[in-house]
Amino acid sequence: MKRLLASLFAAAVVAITVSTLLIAQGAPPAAPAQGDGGRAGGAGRGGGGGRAGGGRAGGAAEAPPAAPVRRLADGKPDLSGFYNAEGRGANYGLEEHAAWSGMPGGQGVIIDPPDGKLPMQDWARKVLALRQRPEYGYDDPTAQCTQAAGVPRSFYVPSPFHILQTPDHVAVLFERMSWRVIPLNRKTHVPDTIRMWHGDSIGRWEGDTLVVETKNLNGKTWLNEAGEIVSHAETVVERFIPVNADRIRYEATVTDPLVYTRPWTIGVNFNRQADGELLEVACLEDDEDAKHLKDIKDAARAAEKKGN
Amino acid sequence: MLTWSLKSVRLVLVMAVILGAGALLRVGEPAAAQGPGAKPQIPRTADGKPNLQGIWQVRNRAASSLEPLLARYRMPPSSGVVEGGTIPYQEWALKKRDENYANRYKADPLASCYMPGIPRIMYLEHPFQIFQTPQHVAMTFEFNLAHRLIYTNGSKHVDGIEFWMGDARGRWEGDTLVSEVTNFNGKAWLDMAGNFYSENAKVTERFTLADADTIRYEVTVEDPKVFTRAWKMSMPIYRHKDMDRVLEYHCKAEESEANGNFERVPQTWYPK
Amino acid sequence: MSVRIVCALALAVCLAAASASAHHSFAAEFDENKPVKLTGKVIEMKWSNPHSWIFIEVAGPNGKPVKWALEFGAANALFRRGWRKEDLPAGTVLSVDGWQARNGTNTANARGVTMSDGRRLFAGSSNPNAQEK
Repeated sequence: MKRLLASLFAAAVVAITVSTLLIAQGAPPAAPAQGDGGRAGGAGRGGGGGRAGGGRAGGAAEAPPAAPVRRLADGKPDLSGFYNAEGRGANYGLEEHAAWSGMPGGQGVIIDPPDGKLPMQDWARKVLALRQRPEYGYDDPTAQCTQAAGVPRSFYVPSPFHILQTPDHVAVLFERMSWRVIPLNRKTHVPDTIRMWHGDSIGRWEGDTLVVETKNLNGKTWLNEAGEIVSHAETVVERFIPVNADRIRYEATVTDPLVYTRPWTIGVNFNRQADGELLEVACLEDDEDAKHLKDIKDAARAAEKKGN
Repeated sequence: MLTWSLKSVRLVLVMAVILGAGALLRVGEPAAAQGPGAKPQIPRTADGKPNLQGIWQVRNRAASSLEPLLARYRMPPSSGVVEGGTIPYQEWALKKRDENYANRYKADPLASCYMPGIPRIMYLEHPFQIFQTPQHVAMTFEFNLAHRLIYTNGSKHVDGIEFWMGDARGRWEGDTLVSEVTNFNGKAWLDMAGNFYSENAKVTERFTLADADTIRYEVTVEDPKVFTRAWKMSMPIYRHKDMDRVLEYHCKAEESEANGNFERVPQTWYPK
Repeated sequence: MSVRIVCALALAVCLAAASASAHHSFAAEFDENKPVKLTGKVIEMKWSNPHSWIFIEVAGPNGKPVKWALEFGAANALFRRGWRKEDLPAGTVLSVDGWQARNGTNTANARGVTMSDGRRLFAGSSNPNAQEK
């Protein structure tokens, strides 16, 4: 009896030790992060930098020892600062892809589904193929001085952004002149008929994670220059997970039943630059690119007509 | 005739003393009622500064014209906001302003939804929202999703680059936020009437809470290339109490669509 | 399909082009089968985003000067790398290799630009905090 108890006890100790070690190493990569405070590089982790989260497609490199998560007087994490996203080529394709057509390759940012591929419906695959023809470059709204790139694209275009945090709001100013405002104390969205480039967002804290729900999107944005698709049915749940003083792990789950067969999630790291400042990206009246792209599109469409 | 027992007299006396003391100490009265010269109570942030946060909009027609001006097509009449009435242009600049005015429907950068610059964006007939921390005052605008950031962290202007919206560095002087804006690209106008400044302009803004729901906004414009002296405009900006967010007026995108540069994508665009 | 093969084989070249012109417009506007090599004098530079433009004057076939427009990187990226407007005054001699516009005009995407002393224009960083994208 004693021996049985002793071995049970030993087994329990082993089980507890092993599971503690597993927890300390972070959640399994394929699952999107849960918004619990334990994953953040908070006081419990000291200066270890914490895990940047799964990142199935390679993930972010382990951050060197960094200062712990900054906090406001009320104990909430302080997300404020000037950030560059590690886009990993997301603005040229969310899946892992080689460089093509003059656009950079990408290591992929999709962490769910596990195969890293966008779960597109068939009609969407056909439309995507069309968008990737060079003469369709003009249809990307950002090619026409539309600075609001959409949700979540504004966070992985290759331009920085500045996050300001007050007790009631998180405001994001994008260098590509546009903004998102996330209220922390609002309960309901604006009426469904009001559709916007950056939609309508409501945020709340789940432990140390800022969870943001966004709807009221207008379906006019592209997910990137590769023409990946979202519609007006898109809703997004974003998680801003502070990892340490200088890094936020960002995960966004996109649900769009018109385009995709299931929701999918991307993961991107934001790195803070303490002395960084926004410059300005705004249209100039003699924008050369928009002109060229329009000429090319007009020429292609005219040629199409002739061919018919 | 009432007979007062000793007990009730004592009670009345005690209450009189309490009420009298309360009156002397102004207990329960809003500060605004404190008599002539008393400042209205204004909200303050945790660090003691006037709290400018909220959603705001002007109620004047400075967007049409900073100077008094009669109504024209798409330009409501303006009673003017310039101290002294008119802007002190140099001779060449006055000609240029008049030329701008004559061509305003095409020549105004705002007519093509380019950035309004500072101060023009502050008095457009569109709401905006202010966010405030000890290091920054940020503003997000309905118009074209523009934003601006006033650095109150003691930093210096950026050097060697110019913006539509300039570069703003500010500090608190008592209860007034003073913001100095430079680094303009010289392309923005000051209103629809063709008033303008150059890339050499320095704009100094002063934000003071006249009361909890009103900002007194004063702007000094200096530009030795364009004006004969510095000049000033001032106006109240009023709080929106019925809005809990600023919506989007993505003017540039709407213009592209109206010009047929964007074709409706039936599979993805919101149906309306 | 052939475009992908070309890019994969000459990945470094592709990436260099991409960092100067990371925009869908590249394939739409420029033809990687039409390489150009030019030497000329700077007329002016337009600092803008997403692309800056350098306008140069090149000696034409019959000796008359010909104007070329060269698409370059975003002004903000150049600024963060420490480059300033006065670094490229009018008259500076440049050598450019790039890819010509599909429509045959004197427009090219500038892959590599060198100064007369051999330095690569706008390369590198004088700002240790510069972010490159």
